[in-house]
Amino acid sequence: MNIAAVTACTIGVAHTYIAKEKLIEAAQDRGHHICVETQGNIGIEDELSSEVIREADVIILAADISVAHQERFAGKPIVRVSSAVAIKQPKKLITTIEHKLSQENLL
Amino acid sequence: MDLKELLDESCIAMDVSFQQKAEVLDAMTKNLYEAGIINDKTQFRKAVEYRESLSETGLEDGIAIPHGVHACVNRAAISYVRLKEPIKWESIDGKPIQHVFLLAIPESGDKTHIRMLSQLATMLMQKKAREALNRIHTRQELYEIL
Repeated sequence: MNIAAVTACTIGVAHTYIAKEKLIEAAQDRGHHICVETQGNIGIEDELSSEVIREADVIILAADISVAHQERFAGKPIVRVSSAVAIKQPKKLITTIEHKLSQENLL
Repeated sequence: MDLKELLDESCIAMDVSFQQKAEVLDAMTKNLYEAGIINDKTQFRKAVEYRESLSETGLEDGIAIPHGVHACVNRAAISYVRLKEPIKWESIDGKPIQHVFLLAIPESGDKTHIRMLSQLATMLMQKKAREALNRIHTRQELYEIL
């Protein structure tokens, strides 16, 4: 599946980027395509393009603070978790999403 | 990336013995203070403790990156301690911690240096970097892998 994700943590210096690494690793392990935007202390990086969002089967918001520009995701299935879930249980997160989307015939 | 400029030689300690996370953070805070990177030990230590209260700062394979953001931080910097024996510290993989990178983050100012701290976090998620860290013996070797 195609995954678009945003990561953001409270301080915005370390765990935003750690969550990104963990999500990419877990998604790619499962054969998925993923793009991850970071909203950190230094601002937004690797911003999700409208094309990536349009193609995405699911949006993952792995954040401990409010994610900016969520209006971009209107109409998309959104999974909201804390950054800790993306960091500590990324594989479980991805497989749970696979399961849920296939149950709802969204894949 | 040149992380070296963020890591003052006086803020590196190799093979020191501590039993508790709090002791490590106290000692590292003192190093940052003495190097002139922070101007208030108590406030910075509190900021680090606040971050510890949010979620684990231990990553994988014995590496931790505690950090604090506060106005008392004069400039973005790193302090590094390699512990003689790993100690108990909440981590992603549950392993005890032997390598500690304490990040001092200013409240405002140059984003370039803050970006470098983020790059360090990303780098430490790579297995190769973690393995390299386990092979170093001297300050010079640490600078080389950064």
